[in-house]
Amino acid sequence: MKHLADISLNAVPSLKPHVRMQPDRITGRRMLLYPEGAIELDDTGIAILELCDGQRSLGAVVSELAEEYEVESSVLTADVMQFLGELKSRGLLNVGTGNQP
Amino acid sequence: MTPRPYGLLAELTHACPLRCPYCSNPLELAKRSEELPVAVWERVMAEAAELGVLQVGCSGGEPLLYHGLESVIRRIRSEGMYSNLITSGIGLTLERALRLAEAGLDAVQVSFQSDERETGDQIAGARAHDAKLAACEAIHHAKLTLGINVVLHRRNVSNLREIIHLAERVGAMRLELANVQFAGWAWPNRMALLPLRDQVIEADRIAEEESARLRDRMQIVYVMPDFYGSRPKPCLHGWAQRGITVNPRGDVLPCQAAEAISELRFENVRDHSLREIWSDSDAFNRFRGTDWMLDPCRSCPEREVDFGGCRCQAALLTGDARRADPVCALSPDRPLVDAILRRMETEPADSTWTYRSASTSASLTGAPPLENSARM
Repeated sequence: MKHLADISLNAVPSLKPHVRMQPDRITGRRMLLYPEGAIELDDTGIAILELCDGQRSLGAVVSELAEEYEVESSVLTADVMQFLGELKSRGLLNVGTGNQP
Repeated sequence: MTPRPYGLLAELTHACPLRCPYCSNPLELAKRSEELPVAVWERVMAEAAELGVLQVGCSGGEPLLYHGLESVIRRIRSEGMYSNLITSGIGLTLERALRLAEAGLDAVQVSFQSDERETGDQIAGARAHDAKLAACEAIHHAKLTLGINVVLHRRNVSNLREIIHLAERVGAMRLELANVQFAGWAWPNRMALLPLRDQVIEADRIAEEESARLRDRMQIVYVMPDFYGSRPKPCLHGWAQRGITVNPRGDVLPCQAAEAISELRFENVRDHSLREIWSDSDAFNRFRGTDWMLDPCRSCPEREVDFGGCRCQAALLTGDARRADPVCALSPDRPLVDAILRRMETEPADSTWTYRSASTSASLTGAPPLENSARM
């Protein structure tokens, strides 16, 4: 939770170019590959990252997810921020400002 | 059940323009004429992906000296694995970097020996530092991701803060700081390489401070030296659990230092598939799991935490790879480590070392055990 304050709702998150999202050959689940590491994504992670396309702001990502899964935005915000904060702390996420996506 | 390997270290060649005295390559270096042909490496990559390997490190020696590097990288990429080039940077011109990027290379890790030219070149035993700086620029121009690795030891660990600043300056995304491990060439050179206790305490503090300062900007991976600890490192996350090393001759090893264990015989990718070797070979099964353990490991509540530590270190220090890693305070062999530390504290600061080279390779491998020889 310590990364909560790091990303504003106006920020535009996207995976850094050196991070690859692809299905795992053994399990079929999607995962992130980056130097010396890999993260297996759960359905929530996949849903979040599919929307982090370098166009949508974090606010837009949260509200789209809220609509799709019929959950309150306020409930989702903390979860999404925690997930993205974790990726950011591992150096896997670009956080553009709203003006320059 | 046989575990799944996640990483493959491909040592394409032992040839290298540097002569670092802590090189992790074995004392008996593979000759160029013994190296695997490109077609075999390509088959190895296909077999690795099938086994579930996700990360491939192309290493050496200096992998840029292997003529088929681009073809190997292309195959790693087409099999869906992530490719890392682990290089001295020597020979990484902009043209070469662009060619590698075009082949599908994901990330480059450049070694530095120090933050400044004079000590760096002295440790590498070659004029290398400036070429490394140029390589970092080429990597950025080719839009490849840059990581830096630095082996820390007695002659450079006091410069840790400056080393971290260098990594920041050259735009590294990740910095790996590994205290020297006593396999390969570092073993005969250990008295000149082991850092002093005060140096280690200071380095731990600086690494922590700088990691906090650089959070989100540069990942710092800092590996503590185990000689000063009281528990061993969980070496390899357990023998033959996650990774495979293939050396330039095609021998398949559970660890890049495994040749330190003289009783092991390694199967070769020219004769067997990677899957057969991973699941059935004696070298991989010898220390898999916990059945092989002796006391105190066998009955230790932490046996699944550190897996008894490093097999190579146990073999080098005690002569028996099944014994507990002697750095463990619970090991009856801990006095061996303490004796080395005591002797090292009295070693002069300018103690000399033997550089890695093909000619010293022959004399060192023919030499008697080095425990009794005072100075190199």
